[in-house]
Amino acid sequence: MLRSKNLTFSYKEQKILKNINFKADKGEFISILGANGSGKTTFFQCMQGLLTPDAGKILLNGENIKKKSKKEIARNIAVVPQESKNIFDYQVLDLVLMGINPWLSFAEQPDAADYQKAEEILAELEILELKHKSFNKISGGERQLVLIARAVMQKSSILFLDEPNSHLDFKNTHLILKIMRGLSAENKTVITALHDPNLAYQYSDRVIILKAGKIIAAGPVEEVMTAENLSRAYEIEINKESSIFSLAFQKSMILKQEA
Amino acid sequence: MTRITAAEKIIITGLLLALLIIASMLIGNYDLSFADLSLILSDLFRGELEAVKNNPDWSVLYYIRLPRILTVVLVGSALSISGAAYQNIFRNPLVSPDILGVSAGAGLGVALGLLYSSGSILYVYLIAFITGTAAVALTYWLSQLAGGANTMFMVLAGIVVSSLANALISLLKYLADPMQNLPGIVFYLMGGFSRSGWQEFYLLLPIVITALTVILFLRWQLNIFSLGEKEAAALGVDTEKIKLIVIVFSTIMVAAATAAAGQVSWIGLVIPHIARFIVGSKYKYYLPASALLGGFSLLLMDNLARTVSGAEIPISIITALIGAPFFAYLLITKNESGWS
Repeated sequence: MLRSKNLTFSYKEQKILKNINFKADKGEFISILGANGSGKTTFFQCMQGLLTPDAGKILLNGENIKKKSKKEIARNIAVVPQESKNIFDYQVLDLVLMGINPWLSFAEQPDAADYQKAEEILAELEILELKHKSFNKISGGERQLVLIARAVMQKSSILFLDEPNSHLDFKNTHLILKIMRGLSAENKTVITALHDPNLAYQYSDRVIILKAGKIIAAGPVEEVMTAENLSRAYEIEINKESSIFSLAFQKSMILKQEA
Repeated sequence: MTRITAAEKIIITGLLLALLIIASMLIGNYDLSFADLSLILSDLFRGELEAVKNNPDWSVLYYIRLPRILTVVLVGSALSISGAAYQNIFRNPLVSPDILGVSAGAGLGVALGLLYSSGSILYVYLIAFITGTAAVALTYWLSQLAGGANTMFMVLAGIVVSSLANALISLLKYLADPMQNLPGIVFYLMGGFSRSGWQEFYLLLPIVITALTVILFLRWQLNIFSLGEKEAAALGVDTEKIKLIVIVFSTIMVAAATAAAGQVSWIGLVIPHIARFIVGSKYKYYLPASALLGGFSLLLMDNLARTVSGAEIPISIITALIGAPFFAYLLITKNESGWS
């Protein structure tokens, strides 16, 4: 579906990404881990066609993403940004409707059916009561849900989330990730950057660890998320027996088995 | 109590504007009462054109007041629409034609046109458009160089460009013949509608209508654009194309308004704020509301300009005297829209 071949990207003569080979298949839930500045956001923007790589290429359904229009890309890839207030405020329903844009022609407006679809999506996410509220005045967790609703409205098969939980509390973090898990069960590909390895462990099928613009480990969760790999990625000592990581892992293993 | 919808609010604003237009016809040194006005109207309806033509009231109304009033409304609308459009495109509620340097740039064009173009009004419009566009391009380029399309950099770059353009205007004034050309340039740029006739109106009308239509046509994408360029691009908006179209048409409007009425400040900044406060950010409502409110406010101020004292006060003085304190009030009381 979406892959990169030898993706390299520099910014002002500094290489941010080096030779990244990446592949995402239908229905996969992939987490990207890495310390601050490891290149996660740049990697995302390249994969979304927003930045053009210096070398290597990105293939969307087998075709070079460079040759596709923004509209074509948006039909395939939806981006869920970190929740934040907008400079100009909109009602929740209007914001969700914006997701239909890639399917409209140049000056077309959404029609009644689109409005109905937007309401259905809000109802599915159990936030229909927010539809006439102003986006800037609802809570951070609700805002993130609204942005997910917009991504669902976009009907694209690949979803990108850049640290979706950065402003969310414990409860909302798990709510959002469970919803994303549900979407991947509906055959959507979910690719998310996460700060917390525990969450990556608990929710993803595959994990990719970036360090200084390079992939240092990639593969199924159990194989990749070792104390050794994580120590390398974050440059901190992780002791298998006593570390907070390993305790959390055991805990999330239990949660996973229970689920 | 049922809530008034945004569409209803726009209709109410439209009605208020219509009422103000009628009231404005009756204001001025020449006494014209509502009865006189209805007499002319009834004569017109009965097809008694001779009677109308011989009525001195008609001459005042048709040759002086009406073209002036309609030109004022168009200029007010043009400035507010372009202000509203710039604010969305640059995703910055603090920009306006004045702040981006477009007004000063177009003013420079007007001064150049008045000095060197043997008086053809079309040339003045054309040169104003070229220099206005150059000014906004320069502002944008400078702010990109300084640190991306950040709110503050754009305002600062606009100040730089405005200063440059105003310095060049001063230079032109200095070089101009103090007896023949200087007063003309000074009074032209201070702004006013005393010279507005049907010619100005017919030049402005197609420009404002075309630009308003084009921008309204893109209303849906403009909503998305205000989320930021990256987010809009991720939602499939052709950001470069939209930006170019909207900037070009907004600048055409500002240039035309400046060529017709001089540098009228503050309208393009303050009116979009009031419009957004009344009908919300959705472009479908926000743009018509800005247009109507812009026309309404400028007409109100022009009425003041021509009645407050014996001699007419330049319009830019009135707009600044009212607009600046009003904006200060907005800054203090309504600071919840994520400005910083």
